[in-house]
Amino acid sequence: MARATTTEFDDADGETVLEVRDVEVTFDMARGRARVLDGIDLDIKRGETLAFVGESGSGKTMLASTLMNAVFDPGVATGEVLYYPEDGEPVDILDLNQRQLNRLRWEEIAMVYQGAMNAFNPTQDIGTHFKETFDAHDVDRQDGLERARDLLRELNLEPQRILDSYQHELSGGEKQRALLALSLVFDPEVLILDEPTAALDLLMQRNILSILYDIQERYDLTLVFITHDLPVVAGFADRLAVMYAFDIVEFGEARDVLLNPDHPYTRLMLRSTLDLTMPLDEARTIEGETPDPINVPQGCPFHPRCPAADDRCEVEEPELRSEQGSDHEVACFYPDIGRERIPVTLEEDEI
Amino acid sequence: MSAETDADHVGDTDEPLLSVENLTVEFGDESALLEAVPARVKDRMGWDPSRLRAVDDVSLTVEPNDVVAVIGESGSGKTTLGKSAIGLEEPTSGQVRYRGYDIWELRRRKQIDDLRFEDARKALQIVHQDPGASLNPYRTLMSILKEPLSRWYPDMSNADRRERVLELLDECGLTPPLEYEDRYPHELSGGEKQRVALVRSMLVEPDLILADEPVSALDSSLRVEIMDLMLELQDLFDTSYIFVSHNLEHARYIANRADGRIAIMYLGEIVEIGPAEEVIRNPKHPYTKILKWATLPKHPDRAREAIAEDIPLRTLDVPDLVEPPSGCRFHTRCPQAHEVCRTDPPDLIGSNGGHSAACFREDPDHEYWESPSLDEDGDRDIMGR
Amino acid sequence: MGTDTEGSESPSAFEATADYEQTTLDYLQEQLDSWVIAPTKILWDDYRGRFGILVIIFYILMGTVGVVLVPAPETNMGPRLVQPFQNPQFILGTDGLGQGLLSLMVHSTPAMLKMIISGAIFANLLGVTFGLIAGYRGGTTDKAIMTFTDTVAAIPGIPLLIILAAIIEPRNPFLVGILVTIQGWAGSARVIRSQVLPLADEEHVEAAKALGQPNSNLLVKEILPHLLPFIFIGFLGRATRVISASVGLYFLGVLPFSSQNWGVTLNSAFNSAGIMYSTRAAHWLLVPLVTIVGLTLGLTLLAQAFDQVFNPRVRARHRRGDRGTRDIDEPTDTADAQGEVTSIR
Repeated sequence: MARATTTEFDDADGETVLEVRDVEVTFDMARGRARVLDGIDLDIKRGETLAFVGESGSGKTMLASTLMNAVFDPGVATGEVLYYPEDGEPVDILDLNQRQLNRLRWEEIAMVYQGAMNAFNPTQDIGTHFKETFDAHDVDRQDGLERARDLLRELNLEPQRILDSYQHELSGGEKQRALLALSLVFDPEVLILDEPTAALDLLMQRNILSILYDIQERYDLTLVFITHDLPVVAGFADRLAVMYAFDIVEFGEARDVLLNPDHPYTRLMLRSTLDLTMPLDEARTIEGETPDPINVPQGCPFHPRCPAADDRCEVEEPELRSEQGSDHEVACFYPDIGRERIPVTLEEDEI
Repeated sequence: MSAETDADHVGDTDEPLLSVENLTVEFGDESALLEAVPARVKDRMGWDPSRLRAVDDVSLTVEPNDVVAVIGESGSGKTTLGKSAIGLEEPTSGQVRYRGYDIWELRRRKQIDDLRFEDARKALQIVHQDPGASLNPYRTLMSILKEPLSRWYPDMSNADRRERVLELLDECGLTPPLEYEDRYPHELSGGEKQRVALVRSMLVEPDLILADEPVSALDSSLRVEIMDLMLELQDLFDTSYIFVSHNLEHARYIANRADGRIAIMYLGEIVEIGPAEEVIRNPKHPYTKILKWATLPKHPDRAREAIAEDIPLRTLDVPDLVEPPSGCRFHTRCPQAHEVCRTDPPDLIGSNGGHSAACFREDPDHEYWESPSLDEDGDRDIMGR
Repeated sequence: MGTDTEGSESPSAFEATADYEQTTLDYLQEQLDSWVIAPTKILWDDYRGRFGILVIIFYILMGTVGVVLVPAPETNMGPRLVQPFQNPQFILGTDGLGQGLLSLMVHSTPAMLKMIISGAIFANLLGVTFGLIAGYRGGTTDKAIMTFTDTVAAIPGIPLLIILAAIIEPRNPFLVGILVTIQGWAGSARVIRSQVLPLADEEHVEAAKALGQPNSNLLVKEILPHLLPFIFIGFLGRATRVISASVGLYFLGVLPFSSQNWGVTLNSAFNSAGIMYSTRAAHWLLVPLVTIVGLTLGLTLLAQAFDQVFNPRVRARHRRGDRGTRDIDEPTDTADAQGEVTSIR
């Protein structure tokens, strides 16, 4: 069970926009019951960039889908996802009916899926996608298109050319930006991004990140950024949640988590992530396999792969908790042993 | 050693293992009917379908036990270069030589001197990016891995082949092998599949393997493992690698540890090449510098600084491959481009065999320095240079 | 990197040889298991497969053993229009000519089976061959073959059959089978080709090419397995079409009445006086109808079940089921779960 408490994180802008309470997602498959999200508790602050970092099979994408109540059949989500709009009463997203959901999605919370670049209908031009979205949300087409044009311009695209194009006529970067424009067209509060830079070339990736950085400020957005690629969010995220085996294992301010990682998995992950300045002989793989959602190991799910694990870890599951007064939470019994056994250097000294 | 082939004795020992000479590979956009028409007829009639030049006059040599990491974005031609180098893509012009022998001529003639085409074919292998696609989903691991053995060692008994496959599975960490032999690819994780693909290519003891983005589809924690495996196998078999990637960090890891080189490609040309650590620490070509700049660090403070910076490109627009820019192809986007860059294409300048870049800035006497900047605000620094 | 350049010292793994003898018998057993036993078990597990298998066995028995056990139909072997289930000697009754309906059905079966086999095999062979070559070669070969295929497909089917039947007057059931599917292969060719086209570019095909496999090997080992579902299901679909086409043609009187055929019986039943106006001869019509529908249904359900045989995931699950004692928490399941769960975002 992971709990990230609200009260300790007191920022000037400490307002919560999304509250996740004991959210669990299970799938009943032929082989058994798979728990792909394991009792997550979390608060997302208005205006922040919260990054979820984890590898494939960690549950991060499922979490994103749950925030929009978009878990597909036969998955079942339990718990609460409370959304606090700027004015109005909080609503439990998991409780909304289809009509309410349709209104909430896109107007309040928008999501850019992984591989969404190919979600454009190849037989319709981009403009039509926009128009259909306006119709679905009862917005006047002309007004909507004007807003769309503004957005496209801000994203360094020629509005009319893009609106007239079909998806195959656009490059990866253009598609991704068009998609961003589409997701921002109703001025949502929250934007969820699932691997928005994964399929892009290096320079375009950088470009999209800069764009996201800008628009977050300009539109006062709360960004939920999901990725397996740590460096992408290292400089971007305000807070960082590390996910493993369908649960949050470490959580706190991004800078703190990256410079003082407490959980052995975080440390091992940092060590296995290559960049241009780290000492090469320190790069190590993480031994073992990612757990099967049907058969998550007993006790701490990471124990089979953990260099700091002992008998206790095999039977007891650690709770996500922090030291006194700190915002940095970790689900581990022996973070100090982890620190000892897993050295992490973020950069080499320049020659 | 088993299966010593004539290929081991062939050719001059002075010849590089693989030599790509003035390689150009073009793809046409034409219908099959039009393809059948001879080129001069097409010219005469003015039928000029758009030809895409994926690789333009590229030369590269690879030595035994070498690693060359070819880095570029999409459209750079890196994959085409790789595939042409191992004979899976036919050149439009230029040569690909294995130990001195032109491999396409070898293919036509089946054998030249002591070298049979078969042996050359065996010596050049490929590992793909997506292990899910590179293993036939309808076959069990045993079946997949026995296949090359059946092809190349027909005298081996079926039992021997099976045993060898089992030992191999064990060797690359798929233990206990008896549990794995009947499995289908979908039952393996991404990392396991890629290990199988790697081992498969090693079965024929190749001299060179084209690794086409072999770790890009894997989780970050697995990448080091696979690259380490590649390096181990290199030690055991003296195999060279052409490592194609869009990722500088991967290139750094593998090329560095093997004392290899990194080559940077842009729009079908090699714009910089040199020893791995050199190219990373002191990139010479503006494009390389920008790639380095764009590669985000893990350190949160550096990363934050980096994000706040503007991309040092004159324009984000990627040029059309069908009609590439004149002169230096990078001039349309280069923040340090001058007039002369628009008209004259630069050759690779630099110490022979060392670190070279196709940029006039490497030549202190070039007229580049007199030529006006293409940017009205003058040259922009990239990473402080 | 430091390298060991002392000759080439391969590790033992690459030198490994077996220390037991695998006999030819073992090998054959392996093949049998993979090609016959496992698929049969998979089909049996599926209710449709089970039904289909039983139906086919039934009809085969009818056409082989039945022919021996049941007397051949003759006119006036019994009283006319005996009702079914009345007379133990003529359990399905008799027709207007006094022929036992059971005898008629049973003795039509061998010819029908022959037609099905020849027709389905012929159509499939042509279709797969053309489709494979066209898809794999591409370019002009592809266009040439497809133009030919499309032309054949475009010829109006029924008139063609009627004309050919009238000209050739085939009596041999094998010939009838081929005649009846003379156009059928065109559809398969198209389908197979469209499957082969993307396959030819697949990475595992490219890897096999790099490993020096000749084209024949590529086609058979890398590409064909993907096509097997289409081929088998196509075969069964073709079979049902042979049934309906031949029955139809016999019913129309276009094909010469040389041998017994369910369609012939239908024809007689239909043309005989009174069938439309009284129920006395109803069984004469119904019995062949049920026989025809029965086989068609069996084949169709079998085809549906066949899809599972080729699916490697089903095969894997099935194989694990066989070993019984395997625990769930094995690495195999990880990938399966990941594939099934996380790949669908």
